[in-house]
Amino acid sequence: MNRNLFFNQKIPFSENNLESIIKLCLERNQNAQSLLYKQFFGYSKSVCLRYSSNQEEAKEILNEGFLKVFNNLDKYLPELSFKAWLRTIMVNTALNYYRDNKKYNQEISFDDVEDPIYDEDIINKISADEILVLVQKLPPSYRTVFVMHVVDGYNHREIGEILEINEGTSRSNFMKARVKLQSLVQKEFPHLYKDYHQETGKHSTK
Amino acid sequence: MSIDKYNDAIKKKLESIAPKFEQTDWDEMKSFMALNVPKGSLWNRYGRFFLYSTGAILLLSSLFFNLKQNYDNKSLLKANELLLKKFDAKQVVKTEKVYQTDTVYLTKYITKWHTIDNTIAQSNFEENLKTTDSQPFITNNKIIENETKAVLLSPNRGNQTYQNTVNINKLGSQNKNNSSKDVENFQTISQTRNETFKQTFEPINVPKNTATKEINELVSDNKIQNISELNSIPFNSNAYLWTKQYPKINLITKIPVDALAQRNHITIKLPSVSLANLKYRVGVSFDVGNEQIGGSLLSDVLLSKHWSMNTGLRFLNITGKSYYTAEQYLFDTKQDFRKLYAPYVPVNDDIINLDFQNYLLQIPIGITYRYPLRNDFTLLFSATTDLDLYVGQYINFDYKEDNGKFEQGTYESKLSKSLLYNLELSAGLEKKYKRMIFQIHPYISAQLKETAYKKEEFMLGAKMRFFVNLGK
Repeated sequence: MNRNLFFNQKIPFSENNLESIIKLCLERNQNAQSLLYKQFFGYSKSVCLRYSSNQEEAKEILNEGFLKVFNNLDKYLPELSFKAWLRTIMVNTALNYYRDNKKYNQEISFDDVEDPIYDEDIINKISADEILVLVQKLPPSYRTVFVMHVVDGYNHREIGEILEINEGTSRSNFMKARVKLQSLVQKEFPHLYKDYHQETGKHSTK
Repeated sequence: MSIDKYNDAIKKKLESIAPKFEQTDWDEMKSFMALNVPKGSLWNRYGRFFLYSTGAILLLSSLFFNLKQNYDNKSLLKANELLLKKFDAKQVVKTEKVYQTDTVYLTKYITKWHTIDNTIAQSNFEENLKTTDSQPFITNNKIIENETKAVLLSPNRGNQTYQNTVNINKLGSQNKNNSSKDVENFQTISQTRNETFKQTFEPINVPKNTATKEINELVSDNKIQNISELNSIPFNSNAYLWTKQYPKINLITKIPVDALAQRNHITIKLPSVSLANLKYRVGVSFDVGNEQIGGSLLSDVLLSKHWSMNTGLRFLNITGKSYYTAEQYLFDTKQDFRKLYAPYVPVNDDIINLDFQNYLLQIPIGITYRYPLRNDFTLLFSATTDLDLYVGQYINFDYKEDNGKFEQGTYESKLSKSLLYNLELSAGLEKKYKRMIFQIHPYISAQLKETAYKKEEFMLGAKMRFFVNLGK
C-alpha cells in the first residue's frame, strides 16, 4: 500500500496523465473513473471477451473487473505498469467467473479431426473477430486453458494450480481445445484449406 | 509451419481485438457500481458499532455491578446497624436501672399492751431498710432507727414491753416493681406475721384517705401495740421512707465507641493497593487462535476484590501464508521472491512450497474485572494488549538443484516490532481450588494497526490459564 505518490506530490490533472486520473479515482471522482474506464475499455474488454462465451458474459466480467479496480486502486503500486495490473485483475475476474459457473459448463464431445493442420497463414487470413468467435465457441474448460496458455502465457503447472486441476488435465484440455479450434476453422473456412491443399500440392509436384 | 507460430498467430489476432467504447457501456458500469457499493473492511463497516456496543456493554455492566454492590453494601450496613442496636440494647438492659419514687404512708395505731418479740421486728426492720445492693436504703433511715429504738426502749415505759412494729417489707428488693406489687408483698408478709402474733389489738384511728386505705387495713392487722406511744414518736420530717434518686437517661441509640469505629472503618474503606495487601499469582497460559498458537508465563496481581492486572512473557507462533510457487507469490504480492530475498535464495532455480512462519516474543498487559460467584467461581472480563519484544520470520522453501532433486532452503529475518497493535477482549470463568486457580477465556482480538506479520482484522480464540496463589 503506497499512497505517498498521490498524497505527497501534486500532480496536475490531465486526461492524458494516468497518475492524475488514478489520484482522482482514489478520491472516488466519477469523472476520473469514467475517463479511466474509457481509456482502458477496449483493452479490458478484449481480455474479457476471449475468456467468455459471448458479449453479455464479457460485459459482466468487465464490469466486475472494473469495480475491483476502482475499489483496490490504493493497492496499485505506481512503479508497476497499470496495464499489466489491470490485465491481471481482468484475468482473475474471468477465472473467478469460470470457477463460479463451472458446474453449469457442460463438456461437449466432438469428433476429432483426423489430420489437423496448424498453419499460421490460414489464421492470418481470418479476421480477429472471426477468430474470437471461434474461440468463444470452445467449451469453457478448453477455452480457459487455451487462452491462459496461448495468450496469457501461463504454463500448465500454473494453470493446474490456479484452476485446481492436474497438470495433465490442463495439457489434455489444451490439446483438445486446439484440435477443436482447428476443426472449427476448417468447418467455418473450408475454402482456405482448399487453397492450402492446392498450394501444398503445387509445392509437392514441383 | 510450427505449433508455436500457429499459437502466436492466434494470440496476435486475439490481442488485436479492441472493442470501441460507447457511452452506454459507462452507464451500465455506473449502475453496476451503484448496485455494488464498496463494502469496505469489516472493521470499517462494524468498527464503530462494535466499539460503541462494547463501550455500552461495559458501562451497563459496570453500572449494574456497582448498583448491586451498593445494594449489598447497604444491606450489610443495615444488618450491621441492627446487630449494633441489639448489642446496644443488651448493654442497656444490663446497665439500666429503673428508678421510681414511691411514697409510703405510715399510719399510727393505738395498740394494746402485749408482749412482742422485739428482736424479730428489729431484724426485719434492718433488712427492709436495705436495698438489693445490701446498702442502707437512705442515710436518714438511721435517724428513724435510732429514734424508734429510743422511744421503744424508753425507761418511762417501765416493764411494759411494748414495741411498735412497723412492717416495711422488702422495700429495697421490690424497688424495681411497681407500687401495686409492693402493696401485695406488704400484704403477704403482714399476713404471715398474723400467724406469729396474736391479734390482740384493734385499730382506733384509721385514716379515711382512700390512697392509704389498703395499707391501713393491712397494717391494722398487725400486732402493733400502744398506738399512743407511736403517736408520741417525734418523727423526723426528713425521715420519709422513700428514696429520691435522679433518673438516669440511657440513650438507646447511643453506640459504643468500638462499634462507631468499626462502622467508620466500613464506610470509608477504600481498596487498598499497598504492596502488603496485594495478592500475587504466578502461572502459565496457553492460547490458541486463528492460525496462531502461544504460551505465556504470567503473573497476576489482585488490586482489589474486583480488579486485577496481569503481565508476563508470551511466545507466539503465527502461521503466515503459503505459496506453491514463487510465481504465485509474485502474483499475490506483486513482489519477486527471488529478488526480495536474494542472495539467500537461488535466482534461477524453481522455487516451490514457500511457507512463512512468524515467531514473536511479547509482553502481554491485561486488566481484568472480576465478579465473584458462588463456590469459588469468578466471572472475568478482561482487556489485553501486547507489546512486541522480538519478531522473527522464518521462510521455508524447496528449490531445484542441477540434479533435478528438490532441496530445502530456509531464510530467517527480523521484522519490525509493534506496540499496542491489538486489543483483545475476553470473558472467562475462574475456579479456585485451594491455592490453585484455573481460568478459561474465549476471546476476540481486534487489530488496531497493520503489522508485517498479521493481516487479519479480527481473530477468535481461547486461552487456558493456571495460576498458583502466592502471598496472602
